[in-house]
Amino acid sequence: MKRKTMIKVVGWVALFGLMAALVLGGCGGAAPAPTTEKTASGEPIGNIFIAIVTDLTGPTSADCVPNILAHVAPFEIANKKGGLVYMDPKTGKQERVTFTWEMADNQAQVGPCPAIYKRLMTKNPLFWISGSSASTIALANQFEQDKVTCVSHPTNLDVYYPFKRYIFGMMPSYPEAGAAAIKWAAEDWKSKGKSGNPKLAWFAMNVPFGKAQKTVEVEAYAKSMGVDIAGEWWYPPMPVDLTAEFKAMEAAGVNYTTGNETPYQAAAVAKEITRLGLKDKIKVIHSYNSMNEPTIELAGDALEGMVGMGCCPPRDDANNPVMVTYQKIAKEHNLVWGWSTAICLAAGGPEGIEIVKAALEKRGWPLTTDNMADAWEQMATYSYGPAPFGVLRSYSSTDHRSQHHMVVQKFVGRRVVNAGEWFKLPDMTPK
Amino acid sequence: MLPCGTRSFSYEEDVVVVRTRAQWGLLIAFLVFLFTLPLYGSYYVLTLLNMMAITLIAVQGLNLLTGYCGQISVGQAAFVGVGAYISAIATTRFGLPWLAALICSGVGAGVLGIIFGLPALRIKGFYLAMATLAAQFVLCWCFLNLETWTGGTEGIHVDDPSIGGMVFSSEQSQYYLIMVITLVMMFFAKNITRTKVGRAFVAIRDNDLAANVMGVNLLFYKLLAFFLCCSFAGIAGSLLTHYLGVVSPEQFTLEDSVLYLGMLVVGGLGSTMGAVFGVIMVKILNEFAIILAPILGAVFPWAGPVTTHAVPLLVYSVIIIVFLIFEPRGLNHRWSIFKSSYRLYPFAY
Repeated sequence: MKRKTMIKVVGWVALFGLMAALVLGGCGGAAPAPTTEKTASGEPIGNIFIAIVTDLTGPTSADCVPNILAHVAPFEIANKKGGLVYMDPKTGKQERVTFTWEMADNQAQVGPCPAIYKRLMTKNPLFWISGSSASTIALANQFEQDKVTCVSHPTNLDVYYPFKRYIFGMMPSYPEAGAAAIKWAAEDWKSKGKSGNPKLAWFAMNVPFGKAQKTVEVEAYAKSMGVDIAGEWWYPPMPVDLTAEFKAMEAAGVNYTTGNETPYQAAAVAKEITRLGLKDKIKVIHSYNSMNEPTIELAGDALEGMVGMGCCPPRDDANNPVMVTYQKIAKEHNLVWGWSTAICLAAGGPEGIEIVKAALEKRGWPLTTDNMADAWEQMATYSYGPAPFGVLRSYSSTDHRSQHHMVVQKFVGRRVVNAGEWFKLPDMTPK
Repeated sequence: MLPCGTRSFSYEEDVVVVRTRAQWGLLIAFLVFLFTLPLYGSYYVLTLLNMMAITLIAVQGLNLLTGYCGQISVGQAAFVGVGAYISAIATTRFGLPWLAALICSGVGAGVLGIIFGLPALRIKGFYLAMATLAAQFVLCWCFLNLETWTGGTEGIHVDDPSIGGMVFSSEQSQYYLIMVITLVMMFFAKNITRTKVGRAFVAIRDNDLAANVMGVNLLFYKLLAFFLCCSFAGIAGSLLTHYLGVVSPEQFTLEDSVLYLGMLVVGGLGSTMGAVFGVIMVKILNEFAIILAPILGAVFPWAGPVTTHAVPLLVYSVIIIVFLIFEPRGLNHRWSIFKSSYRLYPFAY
């Protein structure tokens, strides 16, 4: 009996000891400063560490995981070639830097973010990638306080106010997407020669993500565009029967609906409105998260003719050399060609590499986060050929838009096609 | 079991918490360690401890309700949210000083706890759990939809806490603030359990009918238990929101409520130290899972980030389940056995 107890005690002590060792090991002190050894053979002069926080195993991981893999793919490509080669002004020689990164899982929650932030900051990241809107919400002030640059995936508008120099968005924020939908609704109504104000309803999941477009600024913008907000209708994350909601909207005289959604909800809405025969009476404006193949696979022909806001060119656009290049990269790296793979490749990848290279060639090694912020600001005019998308922008003190452009897209013949020209987003500065 | 050589000659001596000189020494040494930690601890350790301390306050409140009074609550996270939003609104909209907002958070969450605790007078067990589950959903709906007050999905950004002219903006200063408040709440929780109120709670937990027959006012004490539980939650919420700098509806989910209950069960229901053990154990296991993931990723690069992050979560869950099978009375029971065997050594009994 005594031996058994001893084994139990030893087992518990070993378990706690292992965990404590891992936790303390994870605390670490400051990471060693990057080496500045000069090498004639072109060995890396240093390493750039990128800290990543995103949802890897939580409720939005189906979107976040392909995005983040696309984001780091170009850095992997650079590493395979031995690193990013550039002309260093300090050494006067061709040097190269390699990239390493660590992903932390916040499971789309705000709570784990402070500990994740502190742990990864001990490794001196040059910049962060915040792949979950919850993490940007939690860490926005921290990035500014510690002057750490961050590339953020879509999030709420208020993380950018007051003005944040160090946070760069790569896609429109949710309220901006809502404003774009309202703009299109107003123009569509006018183009049809209809009198009076169109009525728009919020129609999305009754969770923070779904309601993210409905903000005070967006509703004020709707008023300024002559669009009446008819009300709000919400559905659960897995909607099945939306008869009551659509009938209520029909009774209320709703002309347009919009709201944040993922492919499942978009497909359910499309199928339900088609079944009820209300497709022409109530125009559903899909969000950019659902203008993609997964939605088409789920809803099929029910989507025919439906419109949505896009922030990325149609993914099979053979006329866009950038999209063709990105599709090739995605194929080579076995990346899921998801709705935002191209944008993430753009923001993290070729553009990201160009930006780091430009910063290195201007400042030399080692780079600071201020150098990265300066470089990203200067790259705001980077050209993507026929379509302006995926450019990293910060909300500057004078231009309160992250992404400047969106495009109306349509489902035609089980494909997503552009249904208009790229247009500028309205300034959603809170008044 | 008392330490060897100690006896109680009065009621006051019997209920004392720190009894011997050795225990006083250990307590003082622990407090010195705790308050000097910012001088040599990394920011990561301080952040972990801050989050643990805030969680501990919420779990202590739940311990009073569930562990001592026997009333199950699966809505504790929602009441943490109530405290968080009250504090955020009080400081940003009404300009109240942070300390006043802290007190308002505690009282406000407590009053709301009484309202949602009223069903406890008629139902218990599973049915009470469902009633408190309703509180979780109702309050979360309010956080999301009462946009005029709560900011809706955008939440509310708050300033750093301040007392007088002193602003607690750095990690170290917030550490001291949170630790002091946590120690005060722990002291308060421990003392409640040693008073008439604590004994009434235990009587209700063990047999509420017998307690009623003996003269324990069920209405008063059950509602008091809910008030105290939710007040603790409200104070934890106020600390959390000013520590994070933002309050949003996504921070107070059902998963958090279940996690608080899980921490209590792992640590040991019905003891103040049980809540401490539970919070430390679960938080460390969580960090262990997070830290193990990149290590697995480096060892098995072909597995991809999803697998390497999911496996430690599985391990963490399995450890909790195994623990509950082999030690259902919690870590506190294991600690009590250790203390007894240490005090009796070399004797077996």
